[in-house]
Amino acid sequence: MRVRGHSMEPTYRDGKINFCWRPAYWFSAPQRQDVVIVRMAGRRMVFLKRVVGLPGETVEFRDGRLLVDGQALAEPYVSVRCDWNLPPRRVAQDAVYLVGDNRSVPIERHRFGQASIDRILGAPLF
Amino acid sequence: MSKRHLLFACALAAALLAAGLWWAHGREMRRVRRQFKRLSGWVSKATRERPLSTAYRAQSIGTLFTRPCRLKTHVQTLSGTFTPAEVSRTAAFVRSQFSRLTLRFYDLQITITDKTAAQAVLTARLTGELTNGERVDEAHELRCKLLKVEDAWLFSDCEIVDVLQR
Repeated sequence: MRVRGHSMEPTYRDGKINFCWRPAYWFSAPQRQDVVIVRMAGRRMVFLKRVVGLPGETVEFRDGRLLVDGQALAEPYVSVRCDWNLPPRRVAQDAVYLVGDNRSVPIERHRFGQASIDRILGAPLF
Repeated sequence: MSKRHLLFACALAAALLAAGLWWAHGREMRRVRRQFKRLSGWVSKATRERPLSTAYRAQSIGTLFTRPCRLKTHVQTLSGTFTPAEVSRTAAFVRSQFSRLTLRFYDLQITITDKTAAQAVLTARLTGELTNGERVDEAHELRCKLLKVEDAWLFSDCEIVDVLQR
């Protein structure tokens, strides 16, 4: 697959080639800080995002800091700090909360949120 | 006619019937798929498109929709119930904002629910450049319903599926 867009920079840069490792979640559930590949209608167009919230947890952004169940999450993969604010929301039992690493764009222009675990195809190979 | 011949004739008739049904079903699927191809072709816009082509395409887009049809998007002006003429007008306005535009459909899955209704799930990708030079690259999952009206498959309902829900 080819990475298109900048939402996972600096971890995954626009235009780079990667592969989807399908067996990544055959025997285990996605863990926090895993980077996952999420399908849309099929496999040809997918999202590449990082898991920040697990089922049942509460996720929020306060002045750019990501809080999970009220505790600030250390995010070493984020290189640009932001001023995002998002009220707390609970992650559904069959979903995970996904955000990109690049927080340099306004919150309205970044696509993130909870996605059903069923939609996770796997993880990038490298 | 022996019993063996009768059995053979029945099996042949059943096979022909199954093949006919399969062919007819496939034919409808191909016809629905063709409507998506038409839609992507008419929405897409090349640089320096001629005014006559612009008018023809905008007019043609409306003919792919039922009266009325329902659209549900993240943009308020592109959501609600529309007539084919309103779809054409809206399409003309949206296309005028772009100097170059490409709409492509991926992973199109079609289900013919009955003789006059079909459902489709797909990913739509819109790439292009606005007249102010800003680049656009958006992909969304879509869920569409089509109805067969006067032997033509028309879009009656299209909505964006929120894969990532904030």
